[in-house]
Amino acid sequence: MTLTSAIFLAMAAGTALGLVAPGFALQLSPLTAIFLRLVQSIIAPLILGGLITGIATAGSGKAIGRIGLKSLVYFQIVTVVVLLLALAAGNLFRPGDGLHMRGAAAGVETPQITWQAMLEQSVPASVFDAMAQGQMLQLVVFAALFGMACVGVGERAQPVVRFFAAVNDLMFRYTHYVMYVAPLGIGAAMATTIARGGWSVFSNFGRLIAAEYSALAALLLLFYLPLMLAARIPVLPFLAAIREPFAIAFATTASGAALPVAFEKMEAFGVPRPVLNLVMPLGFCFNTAGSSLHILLSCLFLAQAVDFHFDAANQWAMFAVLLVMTKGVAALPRTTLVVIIGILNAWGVPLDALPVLLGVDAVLDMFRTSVNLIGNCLAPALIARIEGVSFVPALSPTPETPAQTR
Amino acid sequence: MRRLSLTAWIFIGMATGIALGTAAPDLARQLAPVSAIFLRLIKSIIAPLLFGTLVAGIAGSGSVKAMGRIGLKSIVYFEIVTTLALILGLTAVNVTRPGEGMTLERTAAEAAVSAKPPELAAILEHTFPSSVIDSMAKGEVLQIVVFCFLFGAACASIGEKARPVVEFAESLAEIMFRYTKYVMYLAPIGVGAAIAVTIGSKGFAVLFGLGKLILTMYVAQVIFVVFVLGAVIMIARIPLRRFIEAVEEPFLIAFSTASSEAALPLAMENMERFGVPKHIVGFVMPTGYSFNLDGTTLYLSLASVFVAQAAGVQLTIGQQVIMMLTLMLTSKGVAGVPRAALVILAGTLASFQLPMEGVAVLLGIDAVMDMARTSVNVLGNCLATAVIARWEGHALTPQP
Repeated sequence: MTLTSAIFLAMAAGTALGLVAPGFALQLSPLTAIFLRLVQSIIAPLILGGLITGIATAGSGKAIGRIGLKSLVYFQIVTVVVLLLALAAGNLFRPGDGLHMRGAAAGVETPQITWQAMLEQSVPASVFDAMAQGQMLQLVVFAALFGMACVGVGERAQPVVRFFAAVNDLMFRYTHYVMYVAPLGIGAAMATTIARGGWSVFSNFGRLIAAEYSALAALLLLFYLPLMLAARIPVLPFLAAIREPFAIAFATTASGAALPVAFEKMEAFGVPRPVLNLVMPLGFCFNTAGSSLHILLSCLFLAQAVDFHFDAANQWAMFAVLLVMTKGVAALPRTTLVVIIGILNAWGVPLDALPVLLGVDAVLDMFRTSVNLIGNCLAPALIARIEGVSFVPALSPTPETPAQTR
Repeated sequence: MRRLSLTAWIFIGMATGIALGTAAPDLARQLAPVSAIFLRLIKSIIAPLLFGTLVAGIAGSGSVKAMGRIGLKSIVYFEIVTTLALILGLTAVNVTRPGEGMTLERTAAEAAVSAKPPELAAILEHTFPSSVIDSMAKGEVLQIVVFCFLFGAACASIGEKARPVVEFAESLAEIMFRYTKYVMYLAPIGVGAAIAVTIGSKGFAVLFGLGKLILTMYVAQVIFVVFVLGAVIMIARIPLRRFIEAVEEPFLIAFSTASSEAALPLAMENMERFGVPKHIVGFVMPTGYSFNLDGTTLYLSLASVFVAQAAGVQLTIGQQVIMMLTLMLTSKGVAGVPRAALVILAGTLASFQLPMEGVAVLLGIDAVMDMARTSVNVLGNCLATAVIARWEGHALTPQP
């Protein structure tokens, strides 16, 4: 049995277990935690090794600049598309109408993170601290500067560059080993989620869920799919390649948990390592399509729920602000919430409906994280295509390289 | 951009910052994140740079004995210079008596007093790392130095088998200097923002409120630099012009950011280029940050007597000296943190039953005082590396 089929089997088993024996299923959360901890232990060395090697060995600063620039332009286009979709969904479904929640809840917890602090936290004060705390954006900033310094030093930087290249290779193998635990961790995650009864919110806040799910689905079908066809990225092999990372992202809702295996799979898919090493971490920080969509839609929902009227001009203003503000939301934990609260405060919208949003969030988060993941797998493939790489399906007929079938 | 030197750009940044802080203080205060980002980027240099320089330097110097000798010489030199700074501060404050005739307001002292100075035993313990990764994450310079000292010595004694690690360290040091250079492109902006924030939030009024004290402090620091450090330069026969060129950038950065850590990477790079061997820079500079705080020592002696004067308490010379010795001990190992000297001062004053109101007064002008003492600290440390290098018989030939 392949690992992929084991993962999907485990998801099914977890779902069944959560339905049949919720009490027992809740006991399984340590399995998920162990798996997530193992996966998180990969990220810092993988990113650091990958980015430093990627920048240092790309030879010329020009190539890096070109790939980086193309990525950022592409991410910005995606942001525009998802924000438009969110606006459309928020106005079509009007998920917050009729809730009349003004004054419903007091004492909403407001995160203590300010915008100034977020900006400051985007650069590292110590790379070891950034690694210890999993601060992705800080790692990216450090690795970019460090990698450029390696290029600047030239020949005498070789011992360090070789070291990080080895780390990069090692961490891919490390990922491979950790993935053997994936079925257990993912199955347990499904079981606990189902057992917690997260699904009852479907009936209560169906319109919000419907709005977000349809907008995300529209993004996948109306934007990503045509894009893949236009760029001639083979759709079925791509889907096969992202099955495992998708399952992890969906089941654990941990952005980042799926990152290591996404690296591995996209390389097997045919994206060259230099492109991958650069675009993947950048995308993790700047290409959070699902989260961006969630932010704008939530703002509309929260405003509608307290009968606060946003006219068209103000909606477009919010759209413009979010074009910038959604960048780097992966830099700190809970930043989507910070952005939402920041936006609503700026427009003077009461936050009374926020607890409701937090309640539904578990359900929304699954799909949103998966969409982030799909977008982040697509971006390196697309940039590779623009850089002239062609994906011949014959090279990777199945996502399972011989090493993975044991 | 190419035509003007970095120093010139830093000056332009400072001038712009002062102008902005004066003209639009509200806007200037918003710039705090800019200077914070610059300072954070600089701090991110320190741990890898220290590791690279120290391990490569000590492993390359070949002998643990040589490093022991350098350490001993450093401590002797540090003690002589800081004692001179202390005497100068005491003399200055006893001559000008800036605290006499002041009335101290009895409010707002608690904030400054709440922090206790650490005990000697705790400081000593704190010097030794229990995990080097933790030290590096927290930027504990002294702990990193201790680890790298042992690690480098171990590399030296293993010899051939340690080659990969030593080569890695050499390469890392080189890369981190290049990294420093890139970060320094931001220096004019970061420094300008730092000055703008200081002026914008404190205003120029701080400069005039306690004019006599500030003037005493600045004059004493200048006298210290010209006569004490100048004499050291003459005695050690250090080429003055080249030395000034080497230290002007770190000096300016220390002055405008009031953080000696901010100037550390550039100071190390410039002193290496000045001709001080890697293992001496790597060892003397960071340890000097804990044990050779010339500017801070001068300030502490001056400020503590000022508080006594302002409170109308007469201190004998004997009492003053004992208080100084206490301050010297308690102030070790807290460098790098802006305003740390004030916490130390408050704690020490409390243990000598001196009133805290004086500290509140000092707090108001601390930003201005901090700039002077930090920049003198950096200057003194740069000089220390050169002195030790001369003492070890090196010629100080410029490196490319």
